[in-house]
Amino acid sequence: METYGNRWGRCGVQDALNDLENSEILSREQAALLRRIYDRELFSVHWELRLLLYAGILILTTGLGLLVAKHFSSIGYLTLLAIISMGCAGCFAYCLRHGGGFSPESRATPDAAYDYVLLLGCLLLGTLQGYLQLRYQILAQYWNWWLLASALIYLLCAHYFDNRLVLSLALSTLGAWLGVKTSQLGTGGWDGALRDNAIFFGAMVVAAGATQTRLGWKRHFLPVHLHLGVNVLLAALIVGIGSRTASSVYLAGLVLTGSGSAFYALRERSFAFLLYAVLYGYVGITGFMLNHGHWSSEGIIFYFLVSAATLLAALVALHRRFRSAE
Amino acid sequence: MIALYEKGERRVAVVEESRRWQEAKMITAEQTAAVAERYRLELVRVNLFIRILLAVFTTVGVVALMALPAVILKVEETGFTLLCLIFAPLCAKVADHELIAGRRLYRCGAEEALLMLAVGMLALAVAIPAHGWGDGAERLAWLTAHGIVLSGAILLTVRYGYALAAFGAMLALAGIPFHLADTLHWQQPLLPRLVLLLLLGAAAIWGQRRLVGRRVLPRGYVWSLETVRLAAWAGIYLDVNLFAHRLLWLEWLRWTPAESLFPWSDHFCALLTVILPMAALAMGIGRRDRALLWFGVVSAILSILTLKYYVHFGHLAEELTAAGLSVAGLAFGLLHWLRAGSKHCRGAYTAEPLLEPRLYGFDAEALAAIQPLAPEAGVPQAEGVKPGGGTFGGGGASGGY
Repeated sequence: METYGNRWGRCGVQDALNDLENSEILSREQAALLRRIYDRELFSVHWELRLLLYAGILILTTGLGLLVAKHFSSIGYLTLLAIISMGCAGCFAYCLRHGGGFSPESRATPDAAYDYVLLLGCLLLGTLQGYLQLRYQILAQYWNWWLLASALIYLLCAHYFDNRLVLSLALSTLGAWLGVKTSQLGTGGWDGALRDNAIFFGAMVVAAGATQTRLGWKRHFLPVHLHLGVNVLLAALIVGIGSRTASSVYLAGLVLTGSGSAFYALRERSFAFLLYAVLYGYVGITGFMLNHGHWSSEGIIFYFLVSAATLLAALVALHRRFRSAE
Repeated sequence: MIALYEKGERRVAVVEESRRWQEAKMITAEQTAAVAERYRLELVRVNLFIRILLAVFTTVGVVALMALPAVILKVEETGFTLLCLIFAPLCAKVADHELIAGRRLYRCGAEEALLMLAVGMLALAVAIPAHGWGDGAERLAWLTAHGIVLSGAILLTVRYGYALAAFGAMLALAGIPFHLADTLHWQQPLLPRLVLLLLLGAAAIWGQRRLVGRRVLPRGYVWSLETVRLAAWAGIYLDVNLFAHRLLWLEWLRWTPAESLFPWSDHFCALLTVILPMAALAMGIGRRDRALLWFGVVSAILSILTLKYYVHFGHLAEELTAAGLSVAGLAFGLLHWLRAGSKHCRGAYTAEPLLEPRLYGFDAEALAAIQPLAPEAGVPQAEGVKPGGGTFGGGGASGGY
């Protein structure tokens, strides 16, 4: 069968629309709508406005944070507390009123502003906690527990209001809490503790995502868990391979996690995870090989030559089998 | 552009666009399959992530292949130059003849890496032997190498329509005035900056004028021209903004640019950090040009964030709070205004999502910053814009707008 593309000369998508309409692949209405979009008679600014909204909220909460730090002793503290609390409560009230309540499934957002109002509420809550700590020293030297509290509240909000942005915020806050906890251990063994905490955190995030999916609860949160968890886990394992002790154990962990990531990538046709597996795996294995052997310059170059050729052959075979362009 | 790409990438464009129509629920899966069948592809393409991997490991492999004889034979400058002169045409030939013409690879990473490596090797072949020829000759040789990189990047853009090569060409172009100043010992420290601004301005205008005829241009050229235009705008903005922000230079680079040529130039630069985003926004809205619109939004946000470096009101917290309120309020207001219009439109503009942005299979959830931009699965279209619903053959279409 001769495809139309063989006869297709210098023309763009607009001309293809004519062809698809004439050949009755597209209906007249569909072609007309698409033609309006490509001729820019209908122009969506949906993503641009969302970006503007997101940036505005980030700038606003940054400004409020600075405002609190600057004036927390001079402004009437009750006034400041009341303003931030009211703003925060207003945001959550808006979300409670407009959101459809909890559901284990994905829900459509009621309006474009909803996600951002929730984000603003969560960030204002963080500002409020910061203010309370600055003003009243409620948790004194245990201030890092605020981070854990924030992370848990954000997690609750993410699940209740079905918001992936707040979920990211919750997970990164949880990671920050683990990092801060580690930094307070003192200088001895700080690096090792941080690395192990990162491995624990990454594994926990991946496991939580997998468990939720298995239970049929917020399945659409899984990519958030996996992208964050796999990256943290693989990076921490690579750091472990560079350590003097137990590098073989970390290497085994890296191979295991990388294999899991690659398997998931092929099963779900989500090739970003293949990229993570191959790149992190290559860096880790190369580091291990070079650290644990007496290599001549020729040997090192030969290693890179052979490994690159092997991986190229494997990637080509993989593409042929999975038709990765689709 | 080579005929294979010029002919083939138009079909690629239609097939890729048809997937976006399906994602936006404007057409059915059967219709997408019918489009793919009608515009059957002859070019071989790979997924973006596999493309990255292929490019990385092709580079590692070629560099290792070149380094092996260099280490075994213990070559020095001349030997290395010879190796570069052998490998550069070899890489180009393998990429062009074997991979592109022979195997019909289209943006697969490996052939792109080989072509770029060929340009890099050719530049090194000129620069490296000059190491022992004295300071003046060495500077001249590196300037020639710079010119080779620029010419090579332009050649790759023209022949294959690579937007990445266009970006490389813009970077090389931006470096030329400074390299010239270093080689020719220009005594005017502000002259390279002036030449840079003129070059970038000319590139932006040229890109803008060429994009007027985008409908008849191959897709690779359109992307390359967009890259040239946006890189030029971004370069001008960054130059103007950073020039005004000596404090920022000092904080980041521990270095302060030279004193201003004129007493008013700092204020003029500061003014330009306001004018440029506004001009881009105005042009983007007036011409319905998405790239300029994005540039305008991003640079406006940057200008707000860097305001403290050149206007010292002394109330940073209040300024940021007010700016944040204004930006968020403006976005809220525009959203409601557009939605309140007839069929959720005001003129040609709508706040409803029509076609999702291309994410190349990458889950936007990975990046917290673009979380809200992630496409929602199965969200019904809001009242007013009702594409989709049609079936193959057009009998049941209800795609009225």
